[in-house]
Amino acid sequence: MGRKLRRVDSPARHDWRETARDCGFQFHTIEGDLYWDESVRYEFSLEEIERDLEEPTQELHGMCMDLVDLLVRTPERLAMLGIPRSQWDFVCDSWKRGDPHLYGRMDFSYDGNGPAKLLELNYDTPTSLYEASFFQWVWMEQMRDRGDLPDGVDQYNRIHEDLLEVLAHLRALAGVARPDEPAFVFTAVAESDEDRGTTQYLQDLASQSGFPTRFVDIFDIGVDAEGRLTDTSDEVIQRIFKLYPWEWLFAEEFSKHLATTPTAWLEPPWKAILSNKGVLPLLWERHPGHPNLLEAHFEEAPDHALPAGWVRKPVHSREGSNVRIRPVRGAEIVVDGPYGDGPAVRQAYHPLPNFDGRYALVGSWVIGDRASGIGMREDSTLITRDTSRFVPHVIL
Amino acid sequence: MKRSRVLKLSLLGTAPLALVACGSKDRDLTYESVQDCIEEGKVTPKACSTAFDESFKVHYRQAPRFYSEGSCLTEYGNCLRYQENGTSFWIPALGGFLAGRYVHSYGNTRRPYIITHGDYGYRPLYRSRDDWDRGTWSTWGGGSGSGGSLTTRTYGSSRSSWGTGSSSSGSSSRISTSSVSRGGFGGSSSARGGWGGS
Repeated sequence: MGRKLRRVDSPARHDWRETARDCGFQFHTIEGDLYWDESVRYEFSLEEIERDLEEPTQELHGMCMDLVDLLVRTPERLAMLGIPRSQWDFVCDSWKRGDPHLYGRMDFSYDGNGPAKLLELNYDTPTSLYEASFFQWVWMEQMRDRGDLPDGVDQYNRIHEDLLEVLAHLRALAGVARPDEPAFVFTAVAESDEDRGTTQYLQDLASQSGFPTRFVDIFDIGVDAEGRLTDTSDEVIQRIFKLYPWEWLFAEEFSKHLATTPTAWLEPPWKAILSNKGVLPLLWERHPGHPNLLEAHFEEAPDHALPAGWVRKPVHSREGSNVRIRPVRGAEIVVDGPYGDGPAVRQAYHPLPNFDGRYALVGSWVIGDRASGIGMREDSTLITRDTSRFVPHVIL
Repeated sequence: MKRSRVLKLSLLGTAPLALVACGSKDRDLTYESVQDCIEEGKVTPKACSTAFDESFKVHYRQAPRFYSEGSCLTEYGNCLRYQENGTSFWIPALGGFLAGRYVHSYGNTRRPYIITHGDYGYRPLYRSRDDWDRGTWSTWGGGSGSGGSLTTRTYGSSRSSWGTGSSSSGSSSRISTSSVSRGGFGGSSSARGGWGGS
């Protein structure tokens, strides 16, 4: 079967901004630039979705879970991932007692020919969730109903249903809701429209699942005299979802209370292991030559020049910051950012495919432990950043 | 079909939103009764009764649980009282069941078939308050009636921090206290000039 994947022009719905407003999608335009872009779409075959994205995502997820299971038995290796020694027990215990998790996103380079290559994992604070799960879905339904997409159109996107399913499991674990049940607290940096929006979406789903919920700005979290974290009503936080990275929490003043607070976390502390680009060389070490992996190593000497054909990524960097690419030919590409410090990994360079002058990235979602759907991002440069546009996809 | 069938948001946006995935031409095989299912004749009578039995079996286990009829009724159109291990709570009434689904197979040919195992088994259906007005369905969590693929260890155990058997959040009652300090989290976001997401 030949390649089907293509990028095509797509008529934007005349009323998409009103629809976005009605759906609570506030961040479709970021700092004056379009973020949600439905003037184009990506078209996949079902085979490309199932064989090249869904199955590899499921398999890689299993490999990641195995890796965590291995690392918690050899905690000294957590040092290589930049996890502070004082938090090793907190992280490892969370895995050993089976703390559940909600979601993660794998970023792939995939052009429809040959295997998708894993560029990195975002398993702690993945964003672009709502637009993939919800607004992309609404787009497809409306486009089809208005005759702009054929009746047989589909989309690889069970994300919304699968999120509800995980929350149903959490509700079942937590037992029957009681009138005096503590609020399930949702926290993020409230000032960020994008993070606030993603958090609000998940808060909505949790409410539908029978949890009483409350949003608390991350800056407003408090602590009591017994080292228990508190919300703005001076109640002990017993369940919390945070859209805020573990490595940041570990570096902040209240990290000393993590061991004493009786709080159940989403994502759980063991996600600190997978939020980290150090996972890439560790996966390669265990599965060298795997068709969906790129060769990767920890950087031994940071001052060494980057050889041609390699990419340098700090283990803790976000949204493309501080990434250096040295292509086989041509000039080095550098993105500035605040993550210059700390350990780094080197990964074999595998450029993103170029469609009509745009570089496309596949974000493949894992909800609970299931490969659930994708969201496409594209950028005019080779590095996908927080401003890269989100573009919908269909299966035809 | 590789997408969600129903999306519903209650807090986001300007109005409660319930969107139904399937147009009338390729709707899922959803029924209120075994009789309806048999009369439509899309699947065999035996498949109809199996789908109902399986959905009913998981209904009590999987239905969302509420501590009062009122809170249940804010989400669902019809609720009933249910007791388990001496605790009583409210769950939405079983509104119907899913007996099969149109699968969009490669090459755009369609045929309905019933999946008896794997990700998409039979499932109970509930009518939300909005659904009553619109004549639509909501599914809720649940997954397949036959176990699905969600039982790996990472999914959480009763010993986990979410479990009632855990030492951490086992109390499941509110605890009021006095905060002695605030602002100990969040600093990295301003130092990094960014937010938490990636």
